[in-house]
Parts: sequence; structure tokens; C-alpha cells
Amino acid sequence: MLFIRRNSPIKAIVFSSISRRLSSEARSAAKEQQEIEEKKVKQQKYQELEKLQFRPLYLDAQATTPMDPRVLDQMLPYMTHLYGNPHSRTHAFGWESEKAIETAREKVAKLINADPKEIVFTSGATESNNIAVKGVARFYKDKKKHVITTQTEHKCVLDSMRVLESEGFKVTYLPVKKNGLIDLKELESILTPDTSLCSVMMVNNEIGVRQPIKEIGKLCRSKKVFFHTDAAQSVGKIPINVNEMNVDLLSISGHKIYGPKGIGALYIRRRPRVRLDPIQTGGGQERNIRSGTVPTPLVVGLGAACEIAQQELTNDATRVTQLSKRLIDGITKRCTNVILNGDPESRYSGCVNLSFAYVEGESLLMALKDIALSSGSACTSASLEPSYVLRAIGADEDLAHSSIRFGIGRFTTEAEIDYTIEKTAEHVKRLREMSPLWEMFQEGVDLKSIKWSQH
Amino acid sequence: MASTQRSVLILYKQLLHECHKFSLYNYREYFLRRVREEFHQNRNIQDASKIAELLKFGQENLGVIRRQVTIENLYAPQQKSIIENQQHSSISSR
Repeated sequence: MLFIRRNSPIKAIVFSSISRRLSSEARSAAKEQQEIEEKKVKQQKYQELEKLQFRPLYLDAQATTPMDPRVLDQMLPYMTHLYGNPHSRTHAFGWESEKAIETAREKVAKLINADPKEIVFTSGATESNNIAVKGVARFYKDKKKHVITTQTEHKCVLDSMRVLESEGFKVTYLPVKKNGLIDLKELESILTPDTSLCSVMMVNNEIGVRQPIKEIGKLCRSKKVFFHTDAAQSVGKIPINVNEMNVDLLSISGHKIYGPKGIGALYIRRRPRVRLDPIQTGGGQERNIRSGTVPTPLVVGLGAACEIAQQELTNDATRVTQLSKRLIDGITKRCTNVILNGDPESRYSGCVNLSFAYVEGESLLMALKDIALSSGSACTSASLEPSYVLRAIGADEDLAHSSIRFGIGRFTTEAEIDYTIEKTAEHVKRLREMSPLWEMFQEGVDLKSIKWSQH
Repeated sequence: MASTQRSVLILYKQLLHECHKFSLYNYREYFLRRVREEFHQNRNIQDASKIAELLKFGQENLGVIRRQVTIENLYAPQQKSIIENQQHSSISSR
């Protein structure tokens, strides 16, 4: 007895140190395993690409859009003969590039009814959002230490807010109602004299709801709070007037409006003046707000895209609305228990987010291989977690898992919509026939009343 | 008047002819639709200066489309869009 007792603590120590070593070994092994898995998945993806017989049809206009040939046509001269640095003051190469970027600036400004001097070129909406959110909050940090945003914002705004939180700012993440819109009364109640910035996106990238920007702008102006809106999904698709809407900062992305990738713009109001701390410092280009040589071809492309968007706005809008109606009607006619996520009225019609009850969204996406679709934003499409936007609007876990986003754009055709309806209905039916949940639902069992046993 | 009518008709045909050459299905469909819509929408315009302006706009766009068709076809992928092969694909996916 004594012998064992004396021995036991030693044994325990030995065991624990082994287990600790084992666990760290196991951890690194698991990490390695995961890396191998990831590599395998990637290779599978590439192999599939080679086997591709036909190009899938594209229905993911919220992720990105194909470049309009008219945009490329204006860009190409600046990618060949006209290569000057727009900031060169001493020769013709610089002057012609500078002239081109100033013309592009005018075109961007005109689309949102701003002054060209209020437009700053950036690398995209993510950078614009970062500059706006961090820049304004940091500039006014001595006087005001509170910023407001919504829970359904894009990741880059939410992440910038997290950074601000770590710097000691107080951040309020405003919840949204069931339809995805914010409650104006609630917003009013949290606007304090300590608030420096309120950031609300114009059109949501996942569910396509349109926030009441004009009302929010008015409210923020009356409380002397700067109002930033992420308009990456809405510029060129819905009419925007920064003065009517009382917007102080507005982010624009090039590749969502049939322009090139890697370019965006930020509108910064001059009267009343909005001041901000730059994130990137250097040569002092773009009024010291965004240093770095302005990429002439991309800027020319953004300008062209804005000009065309303005010309084609009504035509695009009627066309997209028509196709979106065709898609929703077609799918709801062929399948039951389909839910349109987000407000049915206040929305941009080109973004249709549907939940197919009792169908696993990931399986449906796999089945619809010949249609380029996504279950949510491209940034988070790698993870199997249900989208935080859908959870914020109070969608049930199962419905959040069964959602698919259909993105309709300028180049979508009727035949593509019909094909999508046909294929979606076919696969939803097939997947539901395999699902035990669907069977139970058909028999009239209330699935919410079931207590699933834990294994 | 007859001469402008003729030049409008020629431009229309040239535009449609060029748009047909886009190898990317979506571009082809879009520009064909837009050319038809635009000419249809403006068919009753009588004002000579307005017609001249629109003709110039059309000529410029013809140039853009000609250049872009050339470039676009240089990089055309081997596979065609699934929509263009719809019947074929429905057999192969079974």
C-alpha cells in the first residue's frame, strides 16, 4: 500500500509531462495535417478547373463584376504608350497622365454629385473604409471617443472598429431589425455629444437591403456627427446624391461597377470640412490622405466605369429589376418554403438572398456547379460558419445555413436566369427528397419542438 | 434627309455585325440588346443636330466595339459558356 502511494505522485508527474509533450506534438501534427488537407483541396480545385468543359454562368455580381469592354478601351492607352507618372511636373508624360486622372476624378464626382476636389483615389473600398473609419476617429480622439456602426457591416468596417476598440474608443454595434434595416429611433438614442463618427452601409453585400441613408444623414447632421457610408454595392446602381443624403464620407469600389480591380475612391466632404489622420504616409499624394503614386490606368478605368454607370443607370436598373423578379417568381413558383432574406421593399434588386428550408446551402452550391453562386460574401465563403449578417437579422441557424445569394448584373441574360431557376428547382427537390427533416416536415412534425439528444 | 437615314441604317448594321463577333456570350448578348434598344428608342427623332450627335456617339462606340472584339478574341478561353451548350450539358451531366 505504502509503496504504491509513494510512487503515485511521481507517476502522475511523469504522465502529465508526457501528455503535455504529446499534446504539443499532436497539435503540430494536426496543424500539418490541416495544411496537407488544405493543399489537397486546392489541388482538387485546380484539377477540376482543367476538367471544365463549359464555362459556368456568372451570378455573383456582389463579389465582383466583369469589366465592361468600354472601360478597358479607355484604360489601354495608359497601359501602353501613355505611361507617365501623374505626379511628374517636369515633362509631357506626367502632364498627360495628370490630365487623365483629373478627368476621371470629375467623372467619379459627377456620379455622386460631389466636387472633384472631394474625391481621393484609393486601392478599393476596403482601404476607403479603413481610412474613413480609423482616420476620422483618430483625428477627433481628443474630443470625442465614441463611434457607431451596425452589426451587418462589411468585415473591413467591423475590423477597423475592433482596432479602434483596442485603442480605447467606445464602439456601439447597432443591431438591425428582422428585415435588416436599422431602427432610426435606436440610432438617435445612442448618438451622444461624444460621438465622432457613424458608419452605416448603403446596400448590404449579402442580403441587399437598402438602409434609409437620407434619414440617417439628416439625423447625424443635426447631432453634428460625421456620417460615413460604404457604397461599394450601390454606386452606379442606385442614384446617389451626397448633398441630398447628407453623407460626409462615402466609399466607392471599382470592380463592383464593371471597372478594374485594385481601385476605389473615397469621398470626403469639404463643407463642413471633415478632417482625418492618414493611414498611409509618404509622398503626400491625394491631398496627403493617401500617399503613393496614383495608378493612372486603373483610375482612368474607374472614371470610365462611373461615366458609363451614369449613362446606363436607368437601363441597368430596369433590366436588373426585371430579371430579379423573374428569378424570384420562377423559384418560388417551382419550390415551396423559400424565404427571401432582408426587407422585400427597401432593397437593391440585383442582390437576391434566398433561404431554402431543409436544404443544406453548401450541398446546393456543390450541386449547382455550373452556376457561379455564393452563400454569402466572398471574403467569408471559405468557412462553413453561417453568415453573421443572417444571424444579425435573426435568421434561425438552419435557415442561415441554407441561404444562397444570387447576384444579377449588367451582363446577366434571361436565358441564364431561366437556366438557374430550372437547375435550382431540380436540385432543391432532389436534396429535399433525401432529407429526413423534409420528410418530417411533410408529415407535420414541428421540428422546433423536437429535443435532439446529445451524443 | 435620305442620306442621313441611309447612314443611320449602315451604322446600325455595322454595329450589330461587330457585336456578333464578341466571343464572350454575356458581352455579345448585352451589346446586341443595347444597340437594338438604343436605335429603337431614338427612331422617331427628327431634329437634324440631335441625329448628328447620336450618329457621332454611335460611330465612336463602333470604334470601341471593333477594338474590344479584337482584344477579347485574342484571349478567348477554349470552353464556351454553359448556356451556349445548354442541350449538350444536360446530356453530359446525367
